[in-house]
Amino acid sequence: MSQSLLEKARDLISLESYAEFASLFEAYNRSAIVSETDRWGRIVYVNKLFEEVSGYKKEEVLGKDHRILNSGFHPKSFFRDMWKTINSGKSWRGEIRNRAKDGSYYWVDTFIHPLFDTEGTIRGYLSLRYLITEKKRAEQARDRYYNYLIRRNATLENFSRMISHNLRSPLTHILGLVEIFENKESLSPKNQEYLRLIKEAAQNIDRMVHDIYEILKTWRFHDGEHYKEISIREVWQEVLAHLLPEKNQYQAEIKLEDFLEKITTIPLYFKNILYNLLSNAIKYGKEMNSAKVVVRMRKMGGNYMITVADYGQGIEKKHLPHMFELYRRFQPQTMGQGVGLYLVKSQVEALGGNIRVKSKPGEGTVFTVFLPIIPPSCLF
Amino acid sequence: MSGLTDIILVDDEPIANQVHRAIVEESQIAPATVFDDPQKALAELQKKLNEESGEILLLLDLNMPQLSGWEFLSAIEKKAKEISSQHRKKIRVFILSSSLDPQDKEKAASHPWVIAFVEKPLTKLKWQKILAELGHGLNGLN
Repeated sequence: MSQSLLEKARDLISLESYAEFASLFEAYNRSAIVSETDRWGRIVYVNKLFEEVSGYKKEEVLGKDHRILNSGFHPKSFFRDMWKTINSGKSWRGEIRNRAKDGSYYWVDTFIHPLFDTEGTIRGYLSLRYLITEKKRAEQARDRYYNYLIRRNATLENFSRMISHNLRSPLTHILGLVEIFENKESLSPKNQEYLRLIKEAAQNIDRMVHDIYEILKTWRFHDGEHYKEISIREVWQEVLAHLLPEKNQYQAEIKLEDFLEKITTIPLYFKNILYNLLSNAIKYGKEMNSAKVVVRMRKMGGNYMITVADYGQGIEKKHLPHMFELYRRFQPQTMGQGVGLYLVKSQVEALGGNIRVKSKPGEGTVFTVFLPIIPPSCLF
Repeated sequence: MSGLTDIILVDDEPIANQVHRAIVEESQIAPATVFDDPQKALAELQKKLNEESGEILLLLDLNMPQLSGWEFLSAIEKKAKEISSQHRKKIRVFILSSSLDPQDKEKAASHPWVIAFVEKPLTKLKWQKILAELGHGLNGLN
């Protein structure tokens, strides 16, 4: 598509058509780095942008091939495959790093298309290139950062696992030693009490180590294979069965008002979320002598929306922002370690969703979980 | 009831062994031998395999730098294959570990030689349960 073609066109087509053709010609010459070669790859035409970007004058490149721009970045097979494609009459597109005359590198998104003669044989190739150096730099910076984060995250996970394991081992020794002394008649009541306190302290650390393990599990990367379709009826029965002791203790009434037949999720997480929210609602939803809990599940937008409402004492406003933090407890009179809601939030987030809480003292508390209907198969 | 003749405890941590020994010996079921070094325990166990009758109870730790519990079991299995089952002692294995790794628990559940995974610390209650599994319930105690 050389300048001479434009001149030929002027003689052949009407003035109007020529004006349109010239505009198109101008547009493509301004936007793309253009070069044309014969069928052996020798350069027969380059446009102005080619000269500007590569730093070579037209006279310096005519008759030569594109190897003068080769930066040595791509393997030989890369260009072999390119030639194989365009030789067979197909067009080729790829990202190439070139070297300019001054030695600097630039990246181009390159489109090569074979040019055919009237017989249908390839007479040459036309290349259109677009500068993508900035995009490439940003990509490389992002990749470096990404790899760094992946490595660092793996290191931290291993570190946490190692710490909790190494903590647990001596801890079991303390608990074991306490076990030996416990109930020994030779111990004075006072010493028995001290021993009980040692045991309690050690058990608290042990519980935390277990919690760390549970939390670490939810940090793992999850892809599609962990997701399964589950029946809400079945899950509901299963969760209720687990909750039976609490249900009886608090004389709770649990109602599932709206529900979906099936949802696709990571079953264990879904059950844990439901279990923990219900268990909380039963414990804190006490009003007079019995607790009432209402659960609703429905689709909203692209999400499953699950609400768990109790009509209990509610939560003070100042506590709400800290509800999902680890080892936060708001009601010292009730048993609990303060890990339940933290785990719920971790699991909701592992499922790509989010959780909110609304509460009014004296009226009750509503937890709302949003889980995307389409599983987040990929983070990016 | 059954012929438990030896109890072997293997753990690379001496404190753990002391604790376990105290609990195990209190019940006076069978003589207990404690090993801090799994290699030595392995040699002893391989020797005992050749004795013709009786049962060995093995309480085995998993995370040992010299030789992991799983490697220990493979070595015993290899040795056991050399002797016909009528002419060797029976080994009953309980894993006794502080590991919280679910993979270890799964492996224990599927291992043909392992009766159960017992999470440390060993308590009197857990020891009673181990004995009950072996048919040494309260009847077995003096």
